[in-house]
Amino acid sequence: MDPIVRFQNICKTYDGRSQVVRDLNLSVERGEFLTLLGPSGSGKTTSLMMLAGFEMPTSGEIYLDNKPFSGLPPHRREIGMVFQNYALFPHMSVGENIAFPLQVRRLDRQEIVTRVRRALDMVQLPGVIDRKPAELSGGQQQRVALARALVYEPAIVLMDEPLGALDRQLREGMQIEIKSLHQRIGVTMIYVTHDQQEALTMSDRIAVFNGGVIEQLAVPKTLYDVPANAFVAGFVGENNLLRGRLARRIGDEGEVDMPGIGLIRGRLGEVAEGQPVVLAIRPEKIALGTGSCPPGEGNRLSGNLIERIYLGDQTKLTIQLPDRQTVTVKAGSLLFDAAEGPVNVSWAPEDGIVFAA
Amino acid sequence: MTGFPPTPAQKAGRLLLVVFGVLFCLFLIGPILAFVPMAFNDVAVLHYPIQHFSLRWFRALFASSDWSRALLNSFLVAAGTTFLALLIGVTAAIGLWRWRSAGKDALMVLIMTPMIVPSVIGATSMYFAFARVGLDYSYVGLVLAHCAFAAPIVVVTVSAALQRFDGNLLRAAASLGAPPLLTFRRVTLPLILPGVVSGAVFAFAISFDDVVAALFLAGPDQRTLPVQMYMRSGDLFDLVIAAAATVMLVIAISLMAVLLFVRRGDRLRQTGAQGAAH
Amino acid sequence: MTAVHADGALLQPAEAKRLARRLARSERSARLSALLLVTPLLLFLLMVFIGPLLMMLSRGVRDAEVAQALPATVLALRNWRHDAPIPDAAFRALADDLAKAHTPAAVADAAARLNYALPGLRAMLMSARARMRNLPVDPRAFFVGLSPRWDDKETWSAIRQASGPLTDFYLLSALDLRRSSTGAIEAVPAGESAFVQAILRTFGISFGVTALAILLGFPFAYLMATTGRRMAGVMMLILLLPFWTAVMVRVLAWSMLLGREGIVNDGLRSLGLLSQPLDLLYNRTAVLVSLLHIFIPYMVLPLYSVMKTIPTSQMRAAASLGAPPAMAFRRIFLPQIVPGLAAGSLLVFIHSLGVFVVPAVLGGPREQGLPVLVVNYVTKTPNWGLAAALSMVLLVSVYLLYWLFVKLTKTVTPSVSAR
Repeated sequence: MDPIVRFQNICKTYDGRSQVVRDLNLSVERGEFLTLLGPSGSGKTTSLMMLAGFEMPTSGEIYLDNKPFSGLPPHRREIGMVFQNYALFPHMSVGENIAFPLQVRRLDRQEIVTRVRRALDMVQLPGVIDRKPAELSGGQQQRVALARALVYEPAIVLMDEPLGALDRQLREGMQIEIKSLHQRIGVTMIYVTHDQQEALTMSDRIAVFNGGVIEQLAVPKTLYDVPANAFVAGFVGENNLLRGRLARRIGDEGEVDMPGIGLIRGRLGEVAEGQPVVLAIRPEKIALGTGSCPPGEGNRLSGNLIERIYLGDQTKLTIQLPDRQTVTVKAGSLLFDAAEGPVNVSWAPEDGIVFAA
Repeated sequence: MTGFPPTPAQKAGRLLLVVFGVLFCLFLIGPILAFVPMAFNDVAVLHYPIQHFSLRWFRALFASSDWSRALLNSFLVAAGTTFLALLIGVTAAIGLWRWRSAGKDALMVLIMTPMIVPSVIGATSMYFAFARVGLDYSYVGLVLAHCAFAAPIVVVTVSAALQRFDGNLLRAAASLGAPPLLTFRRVTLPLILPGVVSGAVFAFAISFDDVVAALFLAGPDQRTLPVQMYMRSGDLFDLVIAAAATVMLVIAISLMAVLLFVRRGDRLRQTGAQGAAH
Repeated sequence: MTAVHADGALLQPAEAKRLARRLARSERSARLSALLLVTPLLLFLLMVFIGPLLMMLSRGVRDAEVAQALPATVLALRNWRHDAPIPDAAFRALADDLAKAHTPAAVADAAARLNYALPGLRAMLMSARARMRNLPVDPRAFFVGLSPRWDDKETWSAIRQASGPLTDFYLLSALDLRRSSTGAIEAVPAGESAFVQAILRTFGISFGVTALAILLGFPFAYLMATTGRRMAGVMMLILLLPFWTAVMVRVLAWSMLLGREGIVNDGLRSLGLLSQPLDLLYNRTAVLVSLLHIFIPYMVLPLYSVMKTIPTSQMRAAASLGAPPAMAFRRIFLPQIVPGLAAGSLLVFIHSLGVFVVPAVLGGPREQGLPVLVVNYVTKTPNWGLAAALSMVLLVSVYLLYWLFVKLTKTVTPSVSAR
């Protein structure tokens, strides 16, 4: 099936010197939930705004259903959008806000009333139809914005950090709700966020943006387990990034030389021998032992336990290695009792990935 | 404001709007600035271009006892007004800030009276009343009248400053051992100072600006600059009036500069305090 | 222990009462200190402004001159009805009163007051007093002999209606109304008085200024709100410079610009475009333009600050929902501007109603509104009663609009923050 949206060689610059988006190529599949993930200033929001028609690409073309798109003014693009601060019209009631796109499209009154009702039911907000946005809580406003963007059944809905203003518990609830809404109505959703946890929870696919380019485009599990480079490894999920130099290649594994510690093995990315590298190892993959080193295959390091943070369901431990680098270990909460002082850590070589630094 | 790329028609509309804006700016400052060169012209007619640069009208202004007396009177009365209006205005603003019981709005409406009542009515009323107690044609009467117009605006500006003042700072100062008066001097006053200075500038400007009250309440000895200008407004051949207007313009610009300076400092301090939030 | 105290139910009644008393005392002292701080200003305003204002306005409804100068006459006329013949007692009483008035000054105020109601009555009264050597035997014959108008019921009606202590005479006059000799309210004959016309003129000019301010202030505020920060700052300065310049300077600036010997005429003549100077001053246009120049910040500043509060994302949302720009402007932008527009319009209207200097210096006779009339009745042809009544008309209008302003904007400050 053809992609519904295709960015082709899109560049965007505001000042003619620095590029906010650099040669972007991206295809969005029909019906998928695609998240643009990245730190602020990475070009993800600009890309979304170009798709919505609020920014013009400096060069390149955006295609909708294989038809070039950038000449079209925003009000003729038939794209739904949920804004960061909802952008509800404060002088209109909830009902009027949701009816607005339908009135613009000149639907008849009865049809509008039915559709507004249905949209409010869909976002589980019956009974607020006559209230003003200012009288609603943040979560309720969020739902109204969602209903307004969906009520005229656009093929694509864009969301620009829509949950940023909500507190954590509400945010997690809304993530699940938006996700299940997406599965129910089958609309294509393009979602912008800087919260990697949110991206992992909601998306079919995630495009990780950095410095105006996509670092990796993959399904969440691949992104987490097989990051394409050091940036993705560091940005998606928690990771220990240990610096060293690639000493030797052994098949698809390599040995990293870390001065003062020794040689550590890990899976290889694209790196040459002798290059400075980063070895990424997830905190939950590291085993901790006190006293003598536990036997077994793998990387074994000794260090000093310098900090313990109790998180309830688990414990986060910081261990300083002889070369002053630190590793974080996530372990069961029982280990909170571990005494500060010398400890050993170990992990399987295939759990660590070596990237060019 | 539209927030997306303009169409050609929108671009044309925008251009039209900008042209209008430029013309309107001309309308706003053109008339005020047009007479200034005349005050420096050597001839006694309103005529462009300027033939000879000369300060003769300014010399005439300061040589004439009428005009120089009027200028001095304006400064005296404005200074007195500012002092008195600050004294009772700042006090009242702090009282209103502390006012917790009902009736605050009604009180404010009462205090605003001189700002709402047309100045002609206020001026004739005061003329009528002051004459009975011998305060007409006196500096005291004129200062009192101007202060009635100026005190409410001091209340407004200082109240605005107090609104942004965090009451917790008083508790903090008290917890650190500062007695109330010291707290006022070292904590409250420095923080509301921009509001106080704005109030002072407004009070001065109101007094300096007033024609109507002075027309009724000033005798020949108290005649202020605007009144002198009003009396002479029929005779435009006397370009001393252009020189006087220029002097007043310079004063207006200085007052505005003071205000902008204070506001800017205030804003900087506020953004500094919010620092992390932005 | 604190836990026990925090639970109010466990407090001993005596202790609860003691606490309540202490709380009340501390609140009372806080209230008292607030009141003490506000008092100086309140006293000042009451004594210097509000008191005099009420005193002056009371002149519009008080009628003391006739009762003071002609007490017996007033008493004799108290029970007289207009349909009855003029009682002899009234003639005798008037003769008594006039005989007791040894100098003209003693009846001058009353004569002036009566003359407002019935032109000619002053002369009749003054000459009667002058001829009053000793009490006439037949007072009626004496007065009618002096002037046949003493036999008119209208004359005596006027005296009776002016006998106080309160009167609606001035207020009715201010609205071009009067009481007929029977006491019914009627319109004054056309051409005799034109206060209603002056009131309408005042409102007309204010309305015109407000309309112009909306028409020109809106695009200017819009431009300011949509342009860059630096440009908006420059525009703000240009807007505020006239605002801070004294009204008298601005008025003179206009007359130096537009006068017969002014800069515009001089320029046009030296370019050879004119032989005779144009009359650009002393007309409606000059007054409107100058008032607009003075009051435009009152419109632009509230509009600008409302426009600044509408985030770009709302216009974008409207577009993404399918609204073309014109529709988004009309349905999303405009409705949210209305409060600023209302506040600005009311401020301009209120301030234009009370303006004196501009029409006095730049206007012709047809531009003289209520404030100018008030000044004329205080200085040129003193009639404090009428001045007070006209002031009341003006004041009631201003306060109605101010009330609307408070309702709409929820603020009591009838000004703009000149930022």
